[in-house]
Amino acid sequence: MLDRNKIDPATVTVKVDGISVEVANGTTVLDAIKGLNKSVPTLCYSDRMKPYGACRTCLVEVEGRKPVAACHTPVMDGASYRTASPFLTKLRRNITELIVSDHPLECLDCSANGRCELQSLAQQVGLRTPRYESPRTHNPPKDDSHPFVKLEMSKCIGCARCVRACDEVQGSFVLQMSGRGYDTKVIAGNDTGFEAANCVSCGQCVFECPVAALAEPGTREAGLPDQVVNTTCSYCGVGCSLDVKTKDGRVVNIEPSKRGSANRGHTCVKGRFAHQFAHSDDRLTTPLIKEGGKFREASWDEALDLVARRFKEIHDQHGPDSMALISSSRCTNEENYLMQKLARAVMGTNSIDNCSRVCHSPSAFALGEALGTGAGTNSFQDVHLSDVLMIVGANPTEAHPVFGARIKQAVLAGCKLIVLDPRNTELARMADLHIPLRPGSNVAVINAMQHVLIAEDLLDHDFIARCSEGFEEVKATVAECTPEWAAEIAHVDPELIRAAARMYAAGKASQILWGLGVTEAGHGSNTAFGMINMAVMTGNLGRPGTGTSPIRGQNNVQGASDVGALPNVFSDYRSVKDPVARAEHREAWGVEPPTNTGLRIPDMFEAAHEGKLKAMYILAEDVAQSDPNTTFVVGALESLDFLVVQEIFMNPTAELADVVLPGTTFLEKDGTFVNSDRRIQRVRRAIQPVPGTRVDAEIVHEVARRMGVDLGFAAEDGTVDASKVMDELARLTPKWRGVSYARLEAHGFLQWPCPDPEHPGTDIVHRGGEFLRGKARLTATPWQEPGELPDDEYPWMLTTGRQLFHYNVGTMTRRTDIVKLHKAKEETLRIHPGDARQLGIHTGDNVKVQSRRGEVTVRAEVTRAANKGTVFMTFHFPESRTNLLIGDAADEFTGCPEYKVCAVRLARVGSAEA
Amino acid sequence: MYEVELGVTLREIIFELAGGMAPGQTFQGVQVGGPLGGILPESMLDTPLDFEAMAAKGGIVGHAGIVVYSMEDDLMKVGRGLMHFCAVESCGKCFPCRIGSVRGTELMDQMIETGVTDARLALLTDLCETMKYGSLCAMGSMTPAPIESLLQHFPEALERYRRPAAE
Repeated sequence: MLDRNKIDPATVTVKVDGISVEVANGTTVLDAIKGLNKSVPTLCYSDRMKPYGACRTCLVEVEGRKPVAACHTPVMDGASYRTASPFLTKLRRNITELIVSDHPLECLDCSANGRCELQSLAQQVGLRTPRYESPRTHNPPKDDSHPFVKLEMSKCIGCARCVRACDEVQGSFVLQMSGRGYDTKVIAGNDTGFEAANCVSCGQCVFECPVAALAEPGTREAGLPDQVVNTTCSYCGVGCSLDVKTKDGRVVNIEPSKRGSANRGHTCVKGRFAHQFAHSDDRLTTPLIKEGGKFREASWDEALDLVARRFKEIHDQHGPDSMALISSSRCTNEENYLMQKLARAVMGTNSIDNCSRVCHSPSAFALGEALGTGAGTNSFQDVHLSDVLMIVGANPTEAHPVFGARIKQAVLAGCKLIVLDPRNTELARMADLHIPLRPGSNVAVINAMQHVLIAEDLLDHDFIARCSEGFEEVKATVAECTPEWAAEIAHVDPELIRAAARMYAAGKASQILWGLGVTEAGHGSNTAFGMINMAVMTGNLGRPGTGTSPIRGQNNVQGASDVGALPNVFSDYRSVKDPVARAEHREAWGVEPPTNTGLRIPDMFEAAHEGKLKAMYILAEDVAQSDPNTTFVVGALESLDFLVVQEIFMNPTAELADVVLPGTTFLEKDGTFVNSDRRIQRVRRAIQPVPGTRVDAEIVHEVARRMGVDLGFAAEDGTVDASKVMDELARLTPKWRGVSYARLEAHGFLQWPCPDPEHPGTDIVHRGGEFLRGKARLTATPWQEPGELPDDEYPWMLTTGRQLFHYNVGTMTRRTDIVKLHKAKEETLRIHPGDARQLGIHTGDNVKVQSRRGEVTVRAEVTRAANKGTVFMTFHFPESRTNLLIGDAADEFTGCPEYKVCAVRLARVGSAEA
Repeated sequence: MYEVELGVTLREIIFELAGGMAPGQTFQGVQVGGPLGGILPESMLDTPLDFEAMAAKGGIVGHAGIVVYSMEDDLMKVGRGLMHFCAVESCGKCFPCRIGSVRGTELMDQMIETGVTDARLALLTDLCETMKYGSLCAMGSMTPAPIESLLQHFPEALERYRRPAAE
């Protein structure tokens, strides 16, 4: 694959094996051959990396000239190529013979046996034992030290695919070809091994290795898989397409799918290697009922009958709004749809919410209000079309690694990068401009950037006039918001703010991406509104490479909200008060849906404390660990009369339940997820549900049935046909009306809006400035202080987030081999060297972190990844209980909590040796 | 160093300008243009030194340095040295040059040490073809040229090492 941007629009005509074909000038001979559904052997070639031309097995004949390597030779107008002949076969055989002469002949004992590209090439060209007598070979020792990458470099053929994948796909530059001539070898770091190098364990090197020089554990023992199932990853919101390989009903390994539209054959360490949780010994495998404060095992019938009976009793005694449901953004769209249908059509309450409440609800709200749809405007591939990227409060190379890798590639290719982040993230270090603003000061800086755009007339006046409303109000609001003013609040250089605004405005296609650093900080909606204002004012919407897109956190947090697991809207964000939507649902469901807005997650806990909320049904969401102000949440759950938790593992939330129902992982079910860029993709069952568990959709369906309502999707044996759920969901969701399993099978994915069965889906919303709400709304966002400010008693700012190797509260990742990685062992408090010196803290010391709500003790990690004045912790490690510290300040529009802004005091309580 | 016009024959350069063979030495072959140039026998001494004429005979102009081998030189060992030169100089990127130059050196060592056989000759011929058509750059693809010229023009240099296959 050549750089598509550099291909000449002109075409040339060539002949391949006598067939005339017209191709773009600059096309490689190999692409021309593949375009005719023909092939030639290759070893060093990989279709998503730049051609390399090393192995020479793709040689083709050219009439009147010497043979050329097809992979890296551009076609020549009028040339005639031959892909096969006795001469070519002999040449390819003799090249293969050379390779095999320095390769161990232990195929039967090799993990690549049966899938080795060298083995199949040898078979194809008819190579037998090499003729070379006692050749000098390379025999470095095996290296099994890495948990996911087994090195056997005696098998290395020197194709450099691993090195190029590390550079061109992942962008980590850990591997390199070292030395020259016959002694050329692959090394990690400065030949210091993977762990010492900056390896992120993404596994791309293993995936690309055509032999077994780099192999993953387990594959040698398992032999060839007996089933390969394509599905969608259940970690973050990138939506990587995965090929799950199973043998005898168990997962052997998981590989990225090259057909995946979101990941293009890439994955991170989690999606690739962290799958052992599904077969973990401590899966919940039987329903549990609490009696006398202790759980006892129960049959499904008994547990489900109890759940249905108690829900009905509470419903009849206290009314429908005494019950609330938390649905799960880890589960499928179909399951979320069933949960909200259970809430609205069976229980009669709108009190259903999902964890987007505590992550991107401000993004969805602001985008919906300002532009007309509560999702990102553009697609992942647009980062390769932007000339300026502005990334605000997001750390995608750790939290969304596959998208982060694409951003890195775009920046390496010359795209300008502006980063607004209190941390020195990897992207911040790569950025042209990094504004290390104080947590909680986002609105001030974004307002100042708008001020600069207006003051320096960096505006797209035509776009503003033609496509927007509200400009004068915004102009008035930001009139006083000079960079100097914002700099005081944010503790940054005002010239940085000016330069960033100018750089953003100067781009031909500028794009803003943001993460939870925007939304999980006070006034998150206003920050989102402000960034949308910037895009509208500079005409950076509705075109390739532009847009305003949140990077969604969980695999299906977009979908859970899209399908209506929210207290105020049906699917498609149609208000529960919207008469048209109400009529459609009434007809489909045969009941009148409730009209009052239901409780949001934080309101549920309030209502429980107040005694108004009596029962909750929580699906796969560990709120006792993941929600802020842990003590308050636990108290709320304890005060309920009846709590049902549906989970795959016992966790702090499930411990508080009256009934625990054992659900299933994504590997055991069918359905769909929606990723961060509105991509609806299939989830397919790769293994049977672990004995004793049931698919979550079936459980929800069964609860409804026992409450007296048939939701309408179950077969006689109780199994739920997910495709039928999608059919009803699509009918009730105008922007999804073109979605069906048949179409998803055929297309691989559909990006909503997809309003009819002929519609191809939408990669860029609001094309041409035609906004879904008509005109874009510019929204005035007056500055307010965050809910939490430092003072003399709590002088440090704590901000929280993810790290690469773990996911959320670690339920899944901490039950996998990922914990063998040195970098994934325990929680640390990241603190800047200057701050650490002031407090006498060294790496490894125990530090007491105290907020106004609680205290935890954690080991220090002195690092420049932290900025002065701001410390950082993740929430992946239950024992460190980070969320105990976090307050309950929240976004004024959506109730999204302020996880990212927490005033703390720090004290060293023990030395590194202790 | 001599400056000559293109088109002057090799014979004129070697025997007139340079004064011919040293006393007691007999001409065996000439290699023009560096270690990637073919070795031409006496019968080709009237080849003019220009690009086309040299190429037609399997030689090159290259850097136009001229090395003359006398009958005292063992062209098998010269060929082995040229193959080793490629192994030393190879960047290691393309497979035919990286592995081929090492195998070529080993093979010629084996021929010198334990004899030339038909099988070894066939393998050397295949290797030359593989490197010539398969290598990525001129380095690997021209390394076979002197070896091929050796096989073609100086059979006696190989025959010295010929051993019956059975031995």
